Amino acid sequence: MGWRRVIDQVLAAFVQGPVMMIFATRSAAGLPAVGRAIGARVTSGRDAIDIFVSPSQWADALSGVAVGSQIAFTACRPSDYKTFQFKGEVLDVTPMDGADQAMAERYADDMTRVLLDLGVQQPQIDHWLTRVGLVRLRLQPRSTFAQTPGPGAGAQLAQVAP
Amino acid sequence: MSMPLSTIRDCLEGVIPSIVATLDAAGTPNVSYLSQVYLVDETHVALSNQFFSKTVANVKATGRAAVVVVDGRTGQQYALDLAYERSLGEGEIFERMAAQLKAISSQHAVGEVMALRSADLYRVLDCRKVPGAAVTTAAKQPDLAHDGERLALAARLAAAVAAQSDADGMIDRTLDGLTRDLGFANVMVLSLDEGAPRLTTLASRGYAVGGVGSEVALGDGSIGIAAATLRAVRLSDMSRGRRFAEAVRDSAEIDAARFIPLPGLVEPQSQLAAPMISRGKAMGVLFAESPERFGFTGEDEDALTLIGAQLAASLRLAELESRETASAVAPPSAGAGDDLGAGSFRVRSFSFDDSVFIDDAYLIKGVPGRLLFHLLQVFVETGRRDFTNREIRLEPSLRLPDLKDNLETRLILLRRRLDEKAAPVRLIRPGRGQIRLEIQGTPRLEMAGGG
Repeated sequence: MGWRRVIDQVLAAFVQGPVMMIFATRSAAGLPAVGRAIGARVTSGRDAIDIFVSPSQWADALSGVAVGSQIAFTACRPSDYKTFQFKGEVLDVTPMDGADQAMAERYADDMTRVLLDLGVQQPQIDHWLTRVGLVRLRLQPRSTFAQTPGPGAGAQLAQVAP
Repeated sequence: MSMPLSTIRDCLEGVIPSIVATLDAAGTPNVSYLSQVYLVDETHVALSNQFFSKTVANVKATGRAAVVVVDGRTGQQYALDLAYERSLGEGEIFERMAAQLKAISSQHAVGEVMALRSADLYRVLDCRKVPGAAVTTAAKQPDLAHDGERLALAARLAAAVAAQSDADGMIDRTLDGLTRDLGFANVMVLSLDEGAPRLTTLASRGYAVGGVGSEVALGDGSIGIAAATLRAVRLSDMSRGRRFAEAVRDSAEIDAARFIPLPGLVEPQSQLAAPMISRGKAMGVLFAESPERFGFTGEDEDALTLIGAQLAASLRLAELESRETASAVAPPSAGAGDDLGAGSFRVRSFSFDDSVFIDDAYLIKGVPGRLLFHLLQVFVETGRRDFTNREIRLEPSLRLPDLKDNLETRLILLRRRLDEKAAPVRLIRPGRGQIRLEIQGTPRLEMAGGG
């Protein structure tokens, strides 16, 4: 059988670490739209990823999001540009609970430290790492791709059988 | 459009990566980081295409892209809606983006991976601010130069350079103006002889050592790339980068005995290198660097390019003028300032590279070395110390490349190097097209074959 888990343990650890997170959706206008996520959590069965997103900052990207809509999510480690992209479907969009908020804040703290160490400055970071007014977006990846800049970018790593 | 595109000029320096989102024909989104967004005009940008093939395939299928760019100074994000127009594999936009990418990759030592495949041209349908985060730390507003102000300063400096009557004055006026009027603390001017594989430092300001005669290989670092590509190079954040000078020092070609260290900041964060172009060729490079991130704006780049072009044109004219008959020879000073009784000093010339050593200390090589040794030979044989550019140009033993000799520039290099080394022999210029030797002590000349 071709079924493989899209998110292996290494990938799960990577995506839950201090990595910069961006995503793309199809907006309500039917156009591509960009957003940033503030932290991610891989579900216990490693079959879905929760990401935390500011709808006020990324209104276009969230305008077309509904259960079953398509999403691309990319996580990139700023120290070495190691990058992975997940493509899949949105399972649901829900308000944050206390655990979600704590996770997003912890991510923002860790990410801030990493960026400060790289010479990025706090006022800049504040523009990207929004901590309030977030929603939780659960996505189910169908495929993963290596996207680290270089000739291997775009190589597919795994795919769930349709 | 919500905001003019010029608003985002500071976003387009490749410091904070931009983001691009596209859809394929079936509506599946793709999101990727992007090395470079280049501002083409008020309604167009070009995106660098090195390897993000899915993005390229998607825009060719659906025609649209969404991009988020980040102001590297403030962190402010801007969203751009783009419509794909065409891919450029050559031309000015492609060459400028390729030069900038090459500079960034040489700095990050990632080599050919960053080679530009194409510059993809897009029409900008909308440009708007991404709302800021609700909680922000009080941000220090950076000092941004008022639009156009620095170009006006540059134009005045260019006029002042053009007003100089000799090549020395042009070089000094340029560097003094850059430090005094434009506030560039660390600057250099390097010359490039036609066909030569490296640039040579003529003068600098703001460094502990002058570094006259130090060299940068063509194509190496921001200086070498600016000369090789005829395009200005601006780096705004070198915190993760490798110093270009280290690459120069690591080069296998370096001969330690004949090495003059290039002046440079220990940890530059920003560099700006503008080619000095005359008649379509690089005559040299004007260079500025700063320990601050974002030390230079796009307008600074335009300003340095403008001044570089003026200096190139002025030096070319000075070169042509010096070929005419020399002005009336100033009365020989009968050795004023000379002191032949001050002991002797040894001058060795190595024929394989025309390098000259004075009392075992390396002075200079190449044409300036050949020139100095020739002048001293004539002096030792005949006692003559006054020369003209014209007779030097006609001297067969000097083997000056016909009509491309840049003799004035080489004399400036030689004179400044002698001054910097406080050498017992100096060159002075009593008048246009004239050269006089000033000598402390008695030179003993030796010719050596090997190194």
